[in-house]
Amino acid sequence: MRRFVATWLACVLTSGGLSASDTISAEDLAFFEQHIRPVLVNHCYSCHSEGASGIKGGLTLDTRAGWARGGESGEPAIVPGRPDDSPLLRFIRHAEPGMEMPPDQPRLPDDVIAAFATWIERGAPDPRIGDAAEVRRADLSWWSLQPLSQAEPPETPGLPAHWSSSPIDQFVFAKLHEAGLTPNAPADRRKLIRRATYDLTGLPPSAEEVEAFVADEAPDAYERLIDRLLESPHYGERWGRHWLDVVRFGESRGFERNEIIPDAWPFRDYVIRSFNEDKPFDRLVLEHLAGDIVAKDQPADEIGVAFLTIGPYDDVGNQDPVAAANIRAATLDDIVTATGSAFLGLTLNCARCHHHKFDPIPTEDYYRVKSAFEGVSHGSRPLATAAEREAREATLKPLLEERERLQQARRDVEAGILARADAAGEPPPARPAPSAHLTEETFTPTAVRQVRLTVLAHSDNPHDGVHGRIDEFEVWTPGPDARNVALASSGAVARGATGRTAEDFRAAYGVDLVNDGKYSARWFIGSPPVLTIILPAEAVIDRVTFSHDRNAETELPIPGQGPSVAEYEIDVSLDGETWTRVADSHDRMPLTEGLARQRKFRKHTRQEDTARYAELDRTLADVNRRIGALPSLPTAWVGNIAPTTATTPVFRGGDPQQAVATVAPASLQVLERVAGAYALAADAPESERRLALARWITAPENPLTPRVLANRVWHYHFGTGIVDTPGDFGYLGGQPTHPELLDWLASRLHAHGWRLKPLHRELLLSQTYRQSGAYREEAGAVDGGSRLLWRFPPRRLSAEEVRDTLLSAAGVLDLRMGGPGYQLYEYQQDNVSTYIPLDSQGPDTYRRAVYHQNTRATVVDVLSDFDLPDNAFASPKRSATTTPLQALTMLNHSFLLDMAEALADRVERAAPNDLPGQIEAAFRFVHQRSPSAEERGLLTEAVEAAGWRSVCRALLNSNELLFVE
Amino acid sequence: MIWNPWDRRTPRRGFLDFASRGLGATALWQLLAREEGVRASDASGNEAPPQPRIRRAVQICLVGGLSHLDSFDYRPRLESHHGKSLQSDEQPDIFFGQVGLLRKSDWTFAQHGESGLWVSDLFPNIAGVADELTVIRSMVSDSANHTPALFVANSGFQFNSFPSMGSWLSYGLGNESDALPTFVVLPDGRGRPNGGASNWSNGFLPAQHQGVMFQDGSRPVRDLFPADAKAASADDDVRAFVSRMNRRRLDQAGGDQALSARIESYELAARMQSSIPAVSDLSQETAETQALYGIGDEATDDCGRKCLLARRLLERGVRFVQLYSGGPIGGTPRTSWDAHEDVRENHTAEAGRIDQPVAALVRDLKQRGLLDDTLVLFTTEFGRTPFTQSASDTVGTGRDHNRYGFSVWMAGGGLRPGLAFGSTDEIGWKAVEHPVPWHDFHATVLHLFGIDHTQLTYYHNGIQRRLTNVHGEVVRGVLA
Repeated sequence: MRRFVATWLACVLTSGGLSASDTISAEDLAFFEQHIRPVLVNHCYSCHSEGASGIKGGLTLDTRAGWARGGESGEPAIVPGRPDDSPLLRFIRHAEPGMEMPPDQPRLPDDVIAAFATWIERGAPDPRIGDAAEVRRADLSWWSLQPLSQAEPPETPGLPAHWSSSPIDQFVFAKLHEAGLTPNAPADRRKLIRRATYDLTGLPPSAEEVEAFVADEAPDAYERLIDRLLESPHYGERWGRHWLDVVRFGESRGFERNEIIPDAWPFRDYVIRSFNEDKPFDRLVLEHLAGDIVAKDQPADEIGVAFLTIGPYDDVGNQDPVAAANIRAATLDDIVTATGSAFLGLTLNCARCHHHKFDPIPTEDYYRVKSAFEGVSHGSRPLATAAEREAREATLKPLLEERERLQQARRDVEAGILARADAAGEPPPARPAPSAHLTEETFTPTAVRQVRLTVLAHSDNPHDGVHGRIDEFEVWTPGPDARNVALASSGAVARGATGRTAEDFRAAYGVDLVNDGKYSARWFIGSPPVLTIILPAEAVIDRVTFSHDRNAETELPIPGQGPSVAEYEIDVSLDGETWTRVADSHDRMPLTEGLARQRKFRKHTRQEDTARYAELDRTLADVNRRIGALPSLPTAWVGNIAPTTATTPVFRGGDPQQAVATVAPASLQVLERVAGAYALAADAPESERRLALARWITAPENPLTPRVLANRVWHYHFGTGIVDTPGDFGYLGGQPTHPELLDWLASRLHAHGWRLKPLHRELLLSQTYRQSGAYREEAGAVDGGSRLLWRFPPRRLSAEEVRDTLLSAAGVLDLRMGGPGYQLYEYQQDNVSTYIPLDSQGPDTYRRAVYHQNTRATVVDVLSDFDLPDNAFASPKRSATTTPLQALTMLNHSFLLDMAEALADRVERAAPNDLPGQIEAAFRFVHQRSPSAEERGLLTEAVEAAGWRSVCRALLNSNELLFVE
Repeated sequence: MIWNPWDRRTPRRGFLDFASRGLGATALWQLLAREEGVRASDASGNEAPPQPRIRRAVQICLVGGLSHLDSFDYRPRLESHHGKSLQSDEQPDIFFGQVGLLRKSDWTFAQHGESGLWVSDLFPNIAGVADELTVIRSMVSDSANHTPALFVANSGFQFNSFPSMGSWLSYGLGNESDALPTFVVLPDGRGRPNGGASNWSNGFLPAQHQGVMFQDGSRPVRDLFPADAKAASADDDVRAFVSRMNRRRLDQAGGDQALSARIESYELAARMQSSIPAVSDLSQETAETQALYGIGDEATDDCGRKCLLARRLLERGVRFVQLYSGGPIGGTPRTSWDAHEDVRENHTAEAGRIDQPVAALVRDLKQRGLLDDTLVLFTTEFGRTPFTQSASDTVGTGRDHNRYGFSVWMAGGGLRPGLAFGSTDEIGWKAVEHPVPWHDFHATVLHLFGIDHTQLTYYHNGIQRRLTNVHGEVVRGVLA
């Protein structure tokens, strides 16, 4: 179990302390691993290691260097070769009064102490060669934990006039100047509108839009372009998709079973809507963490709280309370992790088992945040306004009352029948009850061709045989050498409906299992619940045996293994027309109480009862129909939050079985000095905890939230953030290339009331953004990654942009927004889920890629090829790989061929029988421009040689299409 | 080697940059350094990496759980205790929870070769190469449940979305071939294992490190050719045109790396279009070779083809081939090693499919001199119980899952051949001597490739991730 827990814990790796064992002999290593390390780990590390919460006496024992340097006393804790001179040995021998180790515990066993003596005697060979003195990490002076600076834009010599009006340009130019670089000239207008349109909407501009912009000579043409794009509803689809990456949005549950979540899409629509409305970010955070409180009964905003539960979680469950506690801890860990990285750029999760190895985050901080989520569980629930709820209830209530009245009347009839049955006082049946293990029926030898079992009831349902199960059904000839003539191997055939099919394995529950001669797998009885065995030839039989679980230890079905046949009739026939009853269960003891009742009804129900039932059932059916016809309240995967005041203990080592001190819901100590603090009572209601956390995250003094957000905005506009690890502003993350600029942008967010659109506007209007993407050898040699922005860094289209662009060029993009997503895979579910990519992606998938139902651990064509991340984790930045498999998909996948064909049709329709016109049209559709004379020549030749379809296939593979400059 | 042209942490653009920060593809860096004859420790003070002993590997994954007790772990006491009870109050973490009586092996064990390695007659052909094998009889796993157990065997984590070992190798070592993928997966002809493509996922590593599945038929790799024959006939024209357009654009853009990388990717794709059908064309092999692998015989044809294909892939520079024996879990008849009902029946059928081909692969690699720097891995997700899955007073015919002790083997460079390492207890239930968890197994495989498993890291969401998480010790006892 320790190993399991440890695997779970997303631990940061240390550079020292791990295997580097080849410097000592195998024998010494074995001795150390067997006798020394376990003792150190179990008895010493909690106070004397890098992971300890406060190193005692300055001594660490988790590296060789640690004990060699010793603690505050300044002398080594171990003197190799000299056990008696080694303080550590004196302490564990309890030979040093006041220094008995481990403290407040009985002395370690003698053989353990002897092992230490031997080890030191042998020179204390220790494979843990990491250098304790050199552990480097951030402290409270770390840059990202400081208040926002209010630096003025620098004045730099040589600043071009048009770069002097925007502080952004002034900051950027200063860094360029320092590196001896100069910016590029402004981009040409075609490139600029294409760049801005993709950037803000994820779609290409139309050829008309390009031309209008190119021709617009007004000085504010570009400004108006940006304003138009920011107002486009496609802005939310593009920038909402970015945010969905950040909050690890996924539409399946992840983990082993990975079941699809059909109603996660309302959160996706909410994000898109929120971005389009330019909802202030502090409000968004509040809704993400506490939408159920601040937007109660306002479904459009309440859904925001699905942020908490939109991540993966383990729904397999476990009977073992220890395992269940681990799973619960992991479930909440996902929420703490997402909260830390999405809003604060902190890897809080690294402090789950020990203090953060690299950032000044004590493990208590992790549990302070965790305390806010104690009431959260994953799942769907109705989401509606109070008025909708009330209206539905008002209509529903009288119907439910009516139903209850009718059901009571039915129960009265039943009671009457049972009373008569009891009054009749019949003796119990003589034969034993049918058995899951083996039910046997014998009868007079009879010649038959067919044997039929009609299942009237199974052990879990006294009313129906459907869903019962049979592992084997045997038909025996008489005499001592009885043969089972029902076996498929002797030519018999079993017929019957099957109640369940496994998608990936159709024969898994089929009727053939009853006569395969094996007791392993079972037929799942379908409707009608009748099994017929057809013998290859007439045979005389006198016995039938069958079972649900022949190998069972007990008579009753094992829980979870399913129901067995409880009431049945067996008939035989020679011709399949005339049937003779040879046995039934009616004179057997009933298997369950419910079956006993059902028998009484069967025997004592009179005609007038039946008539009354019929009448009641007619009315009941009508009421049920009316109830069913009432539209149900819409549901969404918004999570279920139970009010709780449960306190939050710190789990030592992340292990729920080692709960130590309780922490109060409070602000993070790591930011206390700059961001203010709050502290609630340990048993404060969970709703207050979430509210307090949300308000603290967006408090004006908190420098991390606006920095992280401003950096994300920069990252998506320029391809790389000012900090190139947008979800991690800690020691392992990147350092800002332009720290003052980042703080300036963060302050602007405050100034804009946390609205993003004004910030976009400032960024896009800067000269930094508007410069060309052209490559210059000499600048590239200094700053190959263009991090200093001597050019606008070109980028490859994202996965969604690639697919949307292909659809758009082909003229078949369906721009309807919102609603349930479409699937690019075939979803198969049988205990675990499988997502098989579609070979052919039909017109129902022609909507924007943001509406693809984005399940976890799923590979689909085109999108996965172009680095759509597996949303098991947050994806603060995406890869942009170039692989030959991409090329194969883009050349050969049927979706590409379909798009090429649609584009070819579109081109031909645009200018029938006019090749030059068609070439013009093709370029406008694909590149939003006219072809050059050279390109005209190239295309004319190509179309004549290979036809439009092939040329379109090639055009869709062009770099000009796939890259934004 | 395909790279992300805009990621400054990739080797093409100044690998010293990331090495000095302790980030990124350290193994590749070390490899490059080695090729330049440098054997010093790197800038961060880490020790020199281990000497690589192998260049490529093939892993045969037995899906469902091979019974070690009936194959590689000879337990005489199990024979003498046949029909006795386990004598333990423990509630073992198995699957169906039924603890029947102990059952001896249904096969006969014998010592083989000069090494005298014990192998049962379940695998008569593999027994014939016993002197090449290094058997680990003390494997342990974290899970007794198929899907998580297979995940942990592949990625070190019980959950999907973590990179598999093949992806880590691709990331750490790059590609030796310019016309084939680095990491190839050959599923059983009866279907994919539980968890499907998640088992060979690149997880959070860049997409070029994903396992590429080869299938039967005319398009061995997805989208290698268009399904539509008409489109296929125009392929050359299309490619030529794409190339002309993109080269024009590159000239205009002044040699931008991203654009040239993309052009190169199309050239690579074109090479794959000829090399993949060529490598998949087994008719190039002699009749003797085909017969050696059991091609043409009904039982062995599927696995034989895959084993032979694996050899051809490895010869042509593929770094890691993963071959599955066993399709989906569940259903009847079984299509995997999951012998809950009847070990004799199930394992006879499953072994009959792979024994000859796998042995042939080892022999063939050996005779071609490839076994010296190739690693063959023969693994399964867990073993099976010494007691049967039946009532507590009966000796049943099936065995349940056993994560506490099971056997795998390795063969190839850098190992001590003919060795049985570690052991289970007397009845073969739990590993008692040198328990080897998957992290240790993975660390050992990386070590053989010349990679220190603690140094092969990838930064992801605040954590330097490793194949071995925070665990893993190289199993030195199996090394030469």
